[in-house]
Amino acid sequence: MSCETNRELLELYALGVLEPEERGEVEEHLGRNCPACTAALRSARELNIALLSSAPLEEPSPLLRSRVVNSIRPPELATSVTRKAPLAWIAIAAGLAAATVWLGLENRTRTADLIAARKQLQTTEARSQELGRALDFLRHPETRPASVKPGANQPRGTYFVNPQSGVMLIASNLPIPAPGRAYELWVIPKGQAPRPAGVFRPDATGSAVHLQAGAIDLASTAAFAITEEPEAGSAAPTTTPFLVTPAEGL
Amino acid sequence: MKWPVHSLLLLPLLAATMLRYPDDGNLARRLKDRDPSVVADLYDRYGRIAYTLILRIVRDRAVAEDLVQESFLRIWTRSQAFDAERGALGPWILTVARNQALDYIRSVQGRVWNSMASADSEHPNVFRDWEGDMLDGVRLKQVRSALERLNEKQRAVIELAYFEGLSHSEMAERMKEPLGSIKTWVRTALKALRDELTVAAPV
Repeated sequence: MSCETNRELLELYALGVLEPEERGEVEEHLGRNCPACTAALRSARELNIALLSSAPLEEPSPLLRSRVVNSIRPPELATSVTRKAPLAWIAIAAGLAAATVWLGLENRTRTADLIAARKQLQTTEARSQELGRALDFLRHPETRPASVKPGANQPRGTYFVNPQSGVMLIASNLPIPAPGRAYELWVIPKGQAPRPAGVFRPDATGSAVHLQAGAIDLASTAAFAITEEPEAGSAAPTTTPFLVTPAEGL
Repeated sequence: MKWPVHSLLLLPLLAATMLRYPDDGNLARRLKDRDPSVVADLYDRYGRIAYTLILRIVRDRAVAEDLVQESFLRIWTRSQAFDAERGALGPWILTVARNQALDYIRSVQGRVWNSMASADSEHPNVFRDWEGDMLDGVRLKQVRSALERLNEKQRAVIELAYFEGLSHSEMAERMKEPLGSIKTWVRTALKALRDELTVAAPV
């Protein structure tokens, strides 16, 4: 690719919208460190930022500021959770997060699930009574997930990790394991064999909330995954892992 | 280092007219030092502009507010990689915000979204050594009028690339136009914008 052709693509490259083939060619070209193209990439990024920031400013709700500020304080949240009855709080949070997943499942994204779950977690303490009622509702035998369509049966799940408290998986659309079989959660350290992190069975709808308590060192963790195993659990995975999620970025 | 003359035409001059807030260095240092109080100040400076961009992409105020919260959380969790001495905060925050919003609309539309390229582009190192930060008012007007001078098709493809994250072939599908025409509109639109907004550096 010539410098000329390369430069025509730099804005799109910086925006992340090039097709893989073109992206590869641009990266290959930029790898040659030609000073003019390096300068042009900078120029392209500046043009991008200028265009992205050119709209007349909109005004968010005045409450957004405190939401943003409060979301940056996980250590305080973790402390208060530990000080009080940790399992009860985690169970309430899990119940509510599960409700979020169950009731809003269709086409929700992992990002959107996380946003919803995090909002729920933030308000947990203040709304404990309400949450208790929500849990009663969820536990009631006649409560059913409304949004799971038959046929839309790909397993899906979201991991929530707290370095001090453990890892929680909220999953849905899991195939029901045969009698005597269950799912096992694995914490996979970088460059080492997966470590077992508890066995669980989904409910009759294929939904599961599994919490494995205990500190987790995120820096040395590569990924989380589950496998189908005997009910008593295995020391190492014996079936193909799925719901594999990298720990990076958590 | 001596550069070929033709390359001078592409030197970034936008930067020279971009506005750098005098105390951004202070904000960047507090971010790097993990001082939680910096988040309120960052939000006061960049919250509206991030919200405006996200809202333009997702077109839903409640979702946009959730995504602003996500974006600032992401900025906070990645701040240790930020070079406080040399990085530009505004462009970094905007890039993270755009990725959050595109991630959201892509998955709501049930489409596969390979965020590898854009995830890389939001790494703080990308924003090292920026001369300026966000546009000042005068420059903003120039950008808006340059956009207005594009023809309808050119504006449409720019909109799709910047605010919907579509590739050439995705644009062709969306606009029901031949791929060749799409590529021409994108190329000529970007050239016009570059020509108007980027001027030759003095030799």
